[in-house]
Amino acid sequence: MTAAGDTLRFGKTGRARRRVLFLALSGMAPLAVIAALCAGALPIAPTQLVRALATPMISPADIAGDPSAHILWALRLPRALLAFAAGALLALGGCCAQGVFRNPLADPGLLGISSGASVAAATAIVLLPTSLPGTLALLSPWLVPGAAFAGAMTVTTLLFHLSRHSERPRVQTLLLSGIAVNALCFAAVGALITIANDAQLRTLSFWTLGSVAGATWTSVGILVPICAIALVLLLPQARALDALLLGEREARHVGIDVPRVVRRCTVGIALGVGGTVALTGLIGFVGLIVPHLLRSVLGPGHRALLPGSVLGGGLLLLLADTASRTVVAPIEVPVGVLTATIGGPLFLALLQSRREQP
Amino acid sequence: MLRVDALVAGYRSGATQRIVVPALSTTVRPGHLVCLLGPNGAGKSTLMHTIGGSLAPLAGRVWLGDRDLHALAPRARAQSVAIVTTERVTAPLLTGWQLVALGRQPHTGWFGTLTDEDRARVDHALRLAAATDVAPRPIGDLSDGERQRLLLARALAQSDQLLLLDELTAFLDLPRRVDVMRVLRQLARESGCAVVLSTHDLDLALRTADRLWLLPRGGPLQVGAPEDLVLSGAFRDAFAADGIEFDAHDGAFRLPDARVRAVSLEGEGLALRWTARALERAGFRVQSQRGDQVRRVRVVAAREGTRWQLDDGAPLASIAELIDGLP
Repeated sequence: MTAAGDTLRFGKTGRARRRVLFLALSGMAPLAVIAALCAGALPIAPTQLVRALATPMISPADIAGDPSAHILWALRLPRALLAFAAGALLALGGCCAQGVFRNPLADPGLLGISSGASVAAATAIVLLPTSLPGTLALLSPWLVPGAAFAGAMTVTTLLFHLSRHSERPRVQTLLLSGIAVNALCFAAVGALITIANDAQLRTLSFWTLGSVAGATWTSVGILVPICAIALVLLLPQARALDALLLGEREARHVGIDVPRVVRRCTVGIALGVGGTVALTGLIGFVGLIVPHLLRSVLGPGHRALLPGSVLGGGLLLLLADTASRTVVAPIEVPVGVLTATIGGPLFLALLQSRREQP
Repeated sequence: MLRVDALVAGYRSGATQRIVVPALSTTVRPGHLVCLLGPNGAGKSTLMHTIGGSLAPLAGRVWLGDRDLHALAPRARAQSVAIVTTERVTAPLLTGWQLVALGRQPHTGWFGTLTDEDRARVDHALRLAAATDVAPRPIGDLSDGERQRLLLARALAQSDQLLLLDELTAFLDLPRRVDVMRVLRQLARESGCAVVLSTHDLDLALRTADRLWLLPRGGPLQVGAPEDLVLSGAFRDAFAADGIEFDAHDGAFRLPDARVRAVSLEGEGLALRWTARALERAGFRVQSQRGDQVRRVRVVAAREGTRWQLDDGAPLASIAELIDGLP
């Protein structure tokens, strides 16, 4: 066999593997949506699903009288969409953070980006009015997400400056900075809790656990445009993130405008994570688990990893949310508890495997 | 054609400038292989980075054809200039093939999708750099030499106008080094690509390069055909400060030793030449005239074979005995 044949074969196996995985992920996504819509305290048979989904189109008046159509349209559909979008954004944000920080353990939760968003969101809840006066009232649902974005943006920028000083950012430095940011944010939320009133307190407590139970069409309407902007910003960075694997200098040598890539990634990550945190609270480890699992199958190339993370992250959070409300029904386990239960041990295993490397 | 125009390379921090290479003007013709020689710390890497456009010059310009390299966008510059640095690169899981494919990045579209032509260029570059066999392996598992072959392949895949290779051959074994130089020269000739290679391999540079750039510590860069620089004495001078002696007669480099003592040598033929070599290796300076304080060695053709005589002692049967007899 010739050496050239080897290369070709190697290229083909890589591509074939990628194709199989993408087919599997995109095939599973609709199945997971169907499962999420059917399962729950009031099970809806898949055969009834089409009729229940069609109800508003055929006879809108019947919605109130048909419990399955009502549950589907008011609760399960927005919740499924929110879960998918949130998971996709978190995984994509994690994957980009790992690429741009050149740190396999970067995760929006561990680095404190989510905490930064939650502090800013909590500040907005406690200190800002719930609705804006006059014509600005239309913007009031965007107050908390906007604040969360600003918080996420601040932390991401700060982390980047902290890790920039060496050509090869240290894994430890970044994670330790994350611990410090998390502690700071925890203190800030604590301070906010002491001055919050009862209603605000209830809203605040929802952050610590992380859940998509509060999904409404409004929250879906907020997250979908955020999702679109984040995808448009982050997906085209694949090529640059590949080049960054070898370091900033090497990336410059193959023509990457590193500062521009960093700016776009920072804004994209902050948008995705900030928006998600504002609507779902702190759901940890999705950004760590998904890119890691995919990397072991797809390799380190971001052109496959980024879209793979979008699909995989959405799928993971949708399945986790469906499990969280059906496994011990009627009790609902917050989905953040579930992802942390899977993600915590995985993170420890990753740390262990890194330590064994020379 | 690469044209370096009154280029001053160095570093700027705030208002202070540290000049590493003072005003340099020269050209590199398409198809020429240039070797940049100089002691450690003379500023070879700084000069390479400045010419390549990744380091801003303190003054002057670098033209590639009619384009000012420092005025180009990073992507456009990377399409025509490929740099390999001494930096040790690694990334988990990244394979050799993917590393080389990064060289095609400046030529790809919005999503960085590799076309069949890009893939063919990558495979071709791997063949030229004799790195096809290591392409499927993760680069973390490779030796320094194997990684350097991949980096050369990446540069070849990236640009066919200007290659700047900083100490590319440092980790390669001798046959591979000779082979890389042969490939580079052939490639330069055939594709019209200009290659600038910084190296410590004086001997190989002297034999292979179309032009030499000599960069003494702190001194101005000297440019010329290797033979011109030897004849003008520039070659000897550039390394004299570093304690390397260059013998223009046999084109060899020596490390002078202050404790060297002279030995006078008489005789003829092949045995004489190899005896001289052995004595030099043992740290003696060989001369033909006899002197007062100088030990005398004679190579004598006797009936029973070649014999060596040290001063007026008994004839010795081998060079080894002769060397052992000298304190």
